[in-house]
This record gives sequence, C-alpha cells and structure tokens, in this order.
Amino acid sequence: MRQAAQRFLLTAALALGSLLGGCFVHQAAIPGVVRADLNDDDIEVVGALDATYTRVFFLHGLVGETDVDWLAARIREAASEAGANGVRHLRIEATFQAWPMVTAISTLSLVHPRAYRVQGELVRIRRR
Amino acid sequence: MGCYARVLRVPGVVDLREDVAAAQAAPSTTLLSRHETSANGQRHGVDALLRGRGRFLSKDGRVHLHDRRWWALGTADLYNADLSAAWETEATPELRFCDVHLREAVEATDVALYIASKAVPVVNLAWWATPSFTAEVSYRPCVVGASP
Repeated sequence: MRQAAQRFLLTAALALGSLLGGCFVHQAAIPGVVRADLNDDDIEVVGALDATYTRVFFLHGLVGETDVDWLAARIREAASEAGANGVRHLRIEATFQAWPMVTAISTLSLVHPRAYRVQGELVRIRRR
Repeated sequence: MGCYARVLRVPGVVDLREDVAAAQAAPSTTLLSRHETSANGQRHGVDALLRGRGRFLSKDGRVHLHDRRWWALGTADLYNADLSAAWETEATPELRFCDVHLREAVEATDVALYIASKAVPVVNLAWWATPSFTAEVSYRPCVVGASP
C-alpha cells in the first residue's frame, strides 16, 4: 500500500512537472536561410562537418540547457574555419548514446545527457 | 547505436551569408497560399495523438511540422512518420525557409500517453514502447527580395 502510494506520488510529481514545463525541451535554431534552388554548379564543396555536441539535462529533463542559438553558433564557426558560407546535406542526429545512458541510469535520470551529431558538407555558394 | 535516436535531414543548402538572410521578404499571398495548400498535411484525432499534428500554421504565420515518435525498447522505430521527408516535400526552388527552429521534447501529451498506457492491462505491455518523444520543425516562409 505504501509502495503504491509512493509510486503514485512519484508519477504525479513527474506528470505535474512535465505538464508545467515539459521534459527534455530542447530547441535549436538553424542559422541563415534554407534554400532548395541551388544546383551543383552553384556551389563548391570546401570541407566536411562532422561534430557531436552533448547537451545535459537534469531531473528527467525538467531542467536543462536552453540556449536556442547553440547549434547555429557552432555551424557558423565550423563554416568560418573552412572558408565556407553554406552547408549542404545538413543532418542532425539526436540520441542517448551509451555513456549518457549509463549516466542517466546510474543517477536515476537526475543527469541525462543527450548527444547531437551534426554532419554535412561545408560549401561555398557562388550564386545569390 | 544510441537510444531514442532521431535523424533530421535539412533539405537543400543552408545559406549562411548575412546579406542573403537580410534580403529575404515575406512571400506573396499567391505563392503563400499555393505553398500552404500544396502540402497540407495536418493530422487529426487519434492519428494526431499518436503521430503528432503533422503540418499546421500558427497565428504568427509560421509553418510547423509536428511529429511524435515511438521506439521499441528505445531503439527500433515504431509507427513513425518521417519528419525529414515531410520537410523535403515543402521545399521548392521559389520558396526559402527563414528563421528555422528545431524543437525536441517530451510533451504533456507524451507523458499523458505514458500514464494512460499504464492503466490498461494489455496496453500496459507497451511500457517497452514508451515514452514517446515529440519533435517539431518550424519556419517562416520567405522569398528573395520583393514578393514575386
């Protein structure tokens, strides 16, 4: 009976927290403008983008990193280093990788890292 | 391989040039209405509950692609729509996506579905398929310079 009450309270607390704020609310802005009018002749590939970033959430994701521009800043930085002004075939994979899962399980989801792998071709766009 | 993996492919090319971004304008009513009706994919009822709302417009003129995703044991995809494919169908040479935002969350509906699945004996077996995650792409439709 006591165990059932504890389970109910835990579920209610998580549900209330989630209803109020949502778990794992993660937002990211894509920099610049996304366009589908460019052909291969309009661009020159100057490098590759392949980086993994980890965002850390706490308390089942009720508290976490909230900077919306983090992804845009990193993409711009990578492009700038390669002398690129665009990214083609941008692919973003969000996942709980093995070690973050271990972290989450061992801390009962108090600490819950989620990895974001960002891949694409860094390109120089010639056309307006 | 990770758990609760979600892949999003951005269609076309991300143009990072500041002057290009600054030159974008709101599309004409004609182009906008053609865009809005050409890929009208809003989901309703149980389908919306299970797979997300699909494509809808908010009052501020932004287009939203809303997708709820399920996994078996956190790894195998179950009954999922492809958000990347939905975005791909939106892409046309004349239209651009400005002010693009990605959002990923365990929403209130995800939590409610999880709790509801616990209450029904057979559905309770679905513990291995929950919780669901919701993702959303939203953007402001725009064109180059003055409206065509």
